[in-house]
Amino acid sequence: MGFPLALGVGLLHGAKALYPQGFLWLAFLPGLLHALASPFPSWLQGWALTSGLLLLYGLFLATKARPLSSLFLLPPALWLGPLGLFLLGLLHGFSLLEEAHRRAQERGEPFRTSASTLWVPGILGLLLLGLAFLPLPLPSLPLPTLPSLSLQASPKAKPNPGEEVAYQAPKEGFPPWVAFLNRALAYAGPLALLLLLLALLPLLGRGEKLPYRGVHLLPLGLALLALGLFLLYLGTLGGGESAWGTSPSAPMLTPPQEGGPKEAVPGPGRLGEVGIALAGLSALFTLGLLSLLAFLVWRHRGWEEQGAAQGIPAKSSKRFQEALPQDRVRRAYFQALKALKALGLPRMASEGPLEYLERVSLPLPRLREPLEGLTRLYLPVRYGGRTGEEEAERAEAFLKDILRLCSSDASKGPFRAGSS
Amino acid sequence: MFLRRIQRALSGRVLLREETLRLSLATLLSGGHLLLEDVPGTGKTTFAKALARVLGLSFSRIQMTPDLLPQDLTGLYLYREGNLVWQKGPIFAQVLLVDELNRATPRTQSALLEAMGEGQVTLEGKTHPLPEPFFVLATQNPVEEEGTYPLPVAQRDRFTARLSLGYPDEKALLQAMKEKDPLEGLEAVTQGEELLALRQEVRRVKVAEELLDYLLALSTWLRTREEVRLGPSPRALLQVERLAQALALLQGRTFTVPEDIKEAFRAAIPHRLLLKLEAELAGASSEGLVAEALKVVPTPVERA
Repeated sequence: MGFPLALGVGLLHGAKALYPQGFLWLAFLPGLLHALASPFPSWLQGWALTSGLLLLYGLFLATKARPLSSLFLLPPALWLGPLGLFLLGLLHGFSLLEEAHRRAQERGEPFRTSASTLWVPGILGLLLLGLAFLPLPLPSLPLPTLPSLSLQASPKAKPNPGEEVAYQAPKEGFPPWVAFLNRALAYAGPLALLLLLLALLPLLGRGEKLPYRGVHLLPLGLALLALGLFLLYLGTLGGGESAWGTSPSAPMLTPPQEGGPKEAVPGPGRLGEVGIALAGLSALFTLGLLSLLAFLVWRHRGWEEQGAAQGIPAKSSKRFQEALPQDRVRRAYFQALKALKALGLPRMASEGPLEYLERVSLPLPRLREPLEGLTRLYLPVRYGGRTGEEEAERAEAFLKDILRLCSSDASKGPFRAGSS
Repeated sequence: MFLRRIQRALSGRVLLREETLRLSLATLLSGGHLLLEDVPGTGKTTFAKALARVLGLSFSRIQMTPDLLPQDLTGLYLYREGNLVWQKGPIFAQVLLVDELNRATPRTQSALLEAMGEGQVTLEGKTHPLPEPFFVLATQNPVEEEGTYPLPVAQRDRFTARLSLGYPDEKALLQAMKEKDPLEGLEAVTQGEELLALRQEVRRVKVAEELLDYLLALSTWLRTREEVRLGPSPRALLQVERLAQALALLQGRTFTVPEDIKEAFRAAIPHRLLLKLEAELAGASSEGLVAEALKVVPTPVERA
């Protein structure tokens, strides 16, 4: 109880700063650690208790945030367990995107993915991993069979017609990945259907196509993963009934005792090695897509703050949408533009850097020197294909001068009324 | 620096703005040709002569008239003592001043097409290469003047840039009046070899992908305007790119910036645009449309 609680408190504190809109539902995660120490279903009680305490603590922390919107997650999460948490987390992720999209539309800006969407693939990945290892309190499902790799036929090699072949597990037992795969496949069916539904919602359920930059890869990846798992599930159903009962936590890894009665195991599934290969490929592909998505979101994390360009014709605005620059010189120039904009001297959309320098220098001659210096460093980086690392310190020094002069000029406020 | 050297040499002798000289030299370095359009007496011919002299290039001048024939430009084969002898025309020079181009008939104007486009002249089935660098500097009076023929579209498209010298300010005019002969004592400050090397260097000036996108956006904006009957051709865009590279090189840069593209676009596009008649009657001008395009289409710069 102690360790998950302590971890949860830290997690809530960290997440509150990064994710104030919905950090509270992270209270359900640390309790999952109980599953490592206790067998099913006793760990579920520990999970519920830890989650409840952390939820209360989170509510205490989030008096100024918007915690109530996450409370509705509690009953279904307790009812469905980790699977419910996973699905609700997914829904919550999409609702966050919806809200960001709505906010952007209200401001009349093009929608850009915010950094908080990083949580969606991150938590999704963690939960997928957890799903594969944890016994879930779901109703009994037809369990798939093991792939045929590790099984050996009994000494009676040629059965009589109509007689079933008896297989037995190898003496050394199954390798661990068999249990992992078997458990993942056991829940592939319902999971696949739910994922498909969720994946199709953002694609089909809105007026405009693919409003999210980068994030549209998420439902696509999930749909592909779900399809792969569903195919595997269908393929493995052909092996017949499981001999291990309906509970996934049955002792399937126990090798048959020496000299004891041979355990009857079902025949090989129809996919066999192909199924394993497909599962592996599917997992790798999804992992790749999620990583790509995370990279895209990370790369464009400044978009929401950056705002939209002014007076751009609709046709060309898409082409010139730009991210917060990663290069230090470009970032310094960007920050200088922001400071001058705040001073009432924004760069016009059609102005080049040198034209802007001339225009700004007329009313603010003191700014000419640092702005010219910064512009001279910026031009080769932006248009000459040079990296700005070696000049970054000089550029940041110019930026400091500009910010200092801007702050002294801002107190006079001569440009606010008649900005160009 | 090349530009400063030429500026110093011409200083006080030719009534010229710095921008005009820069664009003229950039046109020369980009491998293009220049069209000077202005009313008579603004110093077009003097400028061309002075430029040829300081550049150390051979110079030739043709005064266009309505009765001028293509052979008067290109040359012809003469029958002498039983043999056909090739008589070169005035076109075989490094700097060719074609004065009052629009006074010649379209047929004679067209004789320049091959020379300007490919740097050669074909006569009687034989191709004669022109000396390098080959730079045509044509002047024309505004088409409203009597006795002029408007340039064919193909001919206009061959000129990289069109400039107007304009009237000089009073100070420069006073200085010019004191000078007896502006070309006297004017010496070459460079040579053809240097110009050819600079032309090669122009091709190596970097044009960022997003600046090419910007150029395309400008061109698309113009082409889709209702007033425009004929927008910028692909050749025009290539010439704008090359001109922008030359402008960057003259400023001592190895890469182009949005201002180079803008300056090149402003000089190279208006004379190629054909407007619809009703738009012209409504007062639209190609210069106005180009200025509007440059004002509306956003430049690829950080947006705060």
